[in-house]
Amino acid sequence: MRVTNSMMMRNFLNNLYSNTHKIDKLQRQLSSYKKLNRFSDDPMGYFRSLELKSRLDKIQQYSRNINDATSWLQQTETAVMEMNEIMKVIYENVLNASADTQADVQKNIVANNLIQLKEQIFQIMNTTFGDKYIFGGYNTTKAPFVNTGSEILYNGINLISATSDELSDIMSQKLNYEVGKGSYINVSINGLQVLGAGEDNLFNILDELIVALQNDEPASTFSPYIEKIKARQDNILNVIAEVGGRINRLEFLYERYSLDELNYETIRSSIEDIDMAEVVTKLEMARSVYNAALAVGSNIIQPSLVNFLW
Amino acid sequence: MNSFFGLEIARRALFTSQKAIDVTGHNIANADTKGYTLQRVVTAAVDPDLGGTRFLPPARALVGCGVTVQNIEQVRNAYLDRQYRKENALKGEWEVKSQGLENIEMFFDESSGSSVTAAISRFIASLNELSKVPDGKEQRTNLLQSGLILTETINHAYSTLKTLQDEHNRAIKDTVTQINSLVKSIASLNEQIERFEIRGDRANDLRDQRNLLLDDLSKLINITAYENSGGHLVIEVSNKTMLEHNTYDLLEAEQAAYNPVTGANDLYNVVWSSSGEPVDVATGTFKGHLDLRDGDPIDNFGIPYLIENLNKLARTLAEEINSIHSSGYTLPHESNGYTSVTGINFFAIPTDGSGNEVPVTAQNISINEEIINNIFNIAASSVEIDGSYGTGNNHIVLDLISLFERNDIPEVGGFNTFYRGILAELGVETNYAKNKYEGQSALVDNIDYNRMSVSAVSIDEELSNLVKYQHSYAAAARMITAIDEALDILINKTGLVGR
Repeated sequence: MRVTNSMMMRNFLNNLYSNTHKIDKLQRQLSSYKKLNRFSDDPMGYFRSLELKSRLDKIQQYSRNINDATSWLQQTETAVMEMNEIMKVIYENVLNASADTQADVQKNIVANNLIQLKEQIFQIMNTTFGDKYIFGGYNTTKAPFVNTGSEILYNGINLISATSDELSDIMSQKLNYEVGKGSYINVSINGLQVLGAGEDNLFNILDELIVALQNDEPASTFSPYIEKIKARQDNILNVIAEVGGRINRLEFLYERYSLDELNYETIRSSIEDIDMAEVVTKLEMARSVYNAALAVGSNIIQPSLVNFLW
Repeated sequence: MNSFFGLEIARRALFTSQKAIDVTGHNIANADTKGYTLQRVVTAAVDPDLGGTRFLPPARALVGCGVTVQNIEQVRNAYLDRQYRKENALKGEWEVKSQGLENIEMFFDESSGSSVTAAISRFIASLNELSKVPDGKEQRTNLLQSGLILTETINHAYSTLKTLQDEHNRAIKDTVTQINSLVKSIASLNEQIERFEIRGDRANDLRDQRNLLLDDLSKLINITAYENSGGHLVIEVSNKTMLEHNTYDLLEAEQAAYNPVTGANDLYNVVWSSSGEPVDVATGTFKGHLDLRDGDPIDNFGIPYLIENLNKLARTLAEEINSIHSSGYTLPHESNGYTSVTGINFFAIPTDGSGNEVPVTAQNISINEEIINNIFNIAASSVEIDGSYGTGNNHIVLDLISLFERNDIPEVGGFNTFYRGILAELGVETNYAKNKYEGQSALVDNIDYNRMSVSAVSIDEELSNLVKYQHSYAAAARMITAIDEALDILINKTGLVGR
């Protein structure tokens, strides 16, 4: 084949360009610490890394939701535990009152105790998390329990005269946080779940008890209330168990997401990130090839027959 | 036989050597000239002179009359030219496509925080925060901001693509101008070449210029160029004659082609100026610009296809979110008169100039004014909020969040996966175009390499030729000396006997 000067020049330049191109690409990888700078570099890899990124986003979002839900439920747990303690005190007081040996004066003391305790329950049931009421169902902005003096209202409804429709509407109010794809956790414990509704709601029981104590009713009057109080207490224990259960579920999910996050992060990194040692080695190699090409170039370009004739 | 005949042979040899040296000089001088084709002196031995006698001379040993320069020819391979021009058009097409797609790809850079995916992620995060505090003012403001960012990002993606389409449209007009000016230059070169060659010479340097123009033209559009039986150059585009010698048919770009993006006839349509019929463009940079500008179906990837998908995303996003949002109830607040109303859209329903509803597109997607003006019009609750009980109802927000997790939304499947799908297609196409361009480029380089092997000047070769011609010249000069000495003997030293 006849080889002309322009061919040698062209060849030399082509090789030089391909070397500089390689160096440029490696340097881009080094400076960005990313294997994939454009998605055409590796469309499928890029697609996968995008998918992983969106999955990671979701997991992080779920984890944040779980944290918020856990704090809310822990606040609820504290409040319900306090309720449990108070119920124990009420139970003892009523037990005392039902004993035949109790004098009127002591019944009065018990009545006063109960009035105090009722006030305490009232405060606990209006507990807030941040500035949101936790026992109000959808109602998080206003105190759910209001004492008008003549009656106690829950979200504006009289508990004794509430219709079953109203009650079931209240009971169905859930504050759901999304903690997984299509999976929700209800952070709300309804006030009525704790206190009960209708004639047997705790406030009504206490009110009746206080009146009976103040009227110095005979001991036998109180024994049915012992059962009622006991039932409320069981109810509250159930609520504690439920809150505990929800918190456990959240903790379990949180662990799982932490693990998932780590795994996805590892996969994403293996797709996107460079292997430093590998890229640096390649770059060094490309540089030395480039230098060699330059050296060869000076050999190709300089001499011609001109240097040797005459 | 003529006594001075030997001098005549030597003179011809001298002239021929001189000519050869001149041509060598021309070659060396043009070693770096673009498009220059190596020239060679074609010499031939001259037949014996019969001296005009009617009869054969008695002696049979006839001597030839020396050498003559027949022509100065170009060392060029027409087959390689044809191959080069055919492949060069494909190279041009893929060069435009790979560059165009890379430009699009750059604008869709997903590693930056300003991508559509990032905007969607941000929107989902804001929804999640609102779901936890559905009556929170900051959370509502945050959702509005994220919504605005999302719509602006989609709008920006649209306008970027539209700008790129406009650029390709302008490039088509520019290409038409370029093609026309090249054709005109070639026609005028044809005339010059004919005038030059009518004397029997070869217009080598003019032909070089013409070949260079043909090479340039071949990158723009698919051409076949050949010389017809009359020695005239013919250029054809998809079997339609574009130029024959000095007559030609130009291209015309008229703004009449339908644009699927705008729905108006605002793109350039390229026709033959003689007949007004559309030009059948098969390849070349012309075709590259056309495909990127018009490419709609999947096998012909272009900007309208991307915009169409972006529109689909914007439309379904607006429709699905609106249908959920408008079923929710707003939060009562001083600013909206403590009312909880339903039926408010999150995204605005766009209207045309005369107030008719038009579909949502990537260009016009925007947040409903009612929501921009009052964040309490974001409907988070699934039931009417009576008084201020029930402000914690977040069902609508949860439904909106789960919308982004669905994979069965009509037309798109899932928003995120759909958008990622568009990106993946763009990536695959860009990658394909880049590979295609690199392959085609290597092929054209290879052909050009072969062409150079035949036609380019090798300095070493020219120098060795120079040495050769120098020696020929010296030898011819020596011939004259020899004949001179012979004649000297004949004229001055003969017939002196007895003097």
